[in-house]
Amino acid sequence: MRSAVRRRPCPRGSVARETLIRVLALLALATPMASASATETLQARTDATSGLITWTWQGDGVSLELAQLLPDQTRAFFLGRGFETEHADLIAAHCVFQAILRNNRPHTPIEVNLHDWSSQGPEGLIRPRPNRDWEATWARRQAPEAARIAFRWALFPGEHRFEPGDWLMGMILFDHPPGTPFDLTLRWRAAGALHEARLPDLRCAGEAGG
Amino acid sequence: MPKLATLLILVILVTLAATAVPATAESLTAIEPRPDAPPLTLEDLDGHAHDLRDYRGRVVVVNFWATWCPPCRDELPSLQRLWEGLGPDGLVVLGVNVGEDADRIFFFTADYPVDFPLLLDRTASAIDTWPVRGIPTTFIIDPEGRIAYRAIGAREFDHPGITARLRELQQVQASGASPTE
Repeated sequence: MRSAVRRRPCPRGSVARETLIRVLALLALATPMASASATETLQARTDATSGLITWTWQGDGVSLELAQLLPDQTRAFFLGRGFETEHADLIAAHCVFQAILRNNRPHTPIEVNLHDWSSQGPEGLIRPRPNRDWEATWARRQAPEAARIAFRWALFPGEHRFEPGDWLMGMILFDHPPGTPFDLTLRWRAAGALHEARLPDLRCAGEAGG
Repeated sequence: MPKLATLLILVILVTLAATAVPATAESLTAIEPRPDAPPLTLEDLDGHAHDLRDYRGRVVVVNFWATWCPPCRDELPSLQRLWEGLGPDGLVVLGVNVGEDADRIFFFTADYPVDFPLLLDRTASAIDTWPVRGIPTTFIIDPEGRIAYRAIGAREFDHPGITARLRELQQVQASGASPTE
């Protein structure tokens, strides 16, 4: 059966308009990256061997990876840097993550201050304890200088400006006991505005694993 | 019609901006205006003293690192390749180790062999005078002793995008012209 649809002649303007609409539609289809980058994603990956979980959050041109560290891993790392057992145990009694933060924005620097972050757990709202916050503790406990230097530089910096393409890896310590579940709120500044993202259902590594 | 054309241009611009993710492996932050590099006078593993001022007239890569820092370890081989590639043309690479002793670094270099000088900042007194908050952080010093570029986090230092910028600084050095002229 032949189609009975009849085509009406189109004026030139409407042809151009139709072409533009088609181009726009094609561009919309061809830009999944643009729409994906405007959406926040949070993925959790469990290591089959250790059982430890790594969370990867991406959104608004920023990405944060948080990898659980076992208390034993934390203890071993700081014993290897020259801390005494008592000091390494003190650090390992905290909730410790290895964090990687990246500024993937093509043009805009971001400013991060860990004191602006907060974690909501069973004990209430708790902020991370960046490296500078520990200096008085190590001075009081007379920790060896080499250990204190390693501690300072192994922890994620409390305040940092990330230019486009910059990234850093470092430990982030929370005053939660190992095994504690919590929600994390990230905050950073870009182009003068404060940005915020919430990462729900995170968990500190327990003594036996994630 | 003009509205549609404007919309089309906007869509193209937004598309380009959204997909223009920076290439982290090769990104360097240009520092303008270029500040004078802080002092840096340290001994290397063999006990030889290095003073940044002695390298005036040459392009110098100053990399702050530690053996326990995974991204620092990751980028060391690329610094070695950079040194091998541009060193014969006058480039200097200085790896400033933060807070560790010579023995630990010596054993480390069995797994990460490098030929460029590894300087010892045992008490972290040198790094504290530089604008560094985390490691690895790397500075590119121009022939006039000023900070030209900075990279925070690991990079592939022998990436063509980086070596091109270093060669450009070296050419300025060879011609004797100021890059800001």
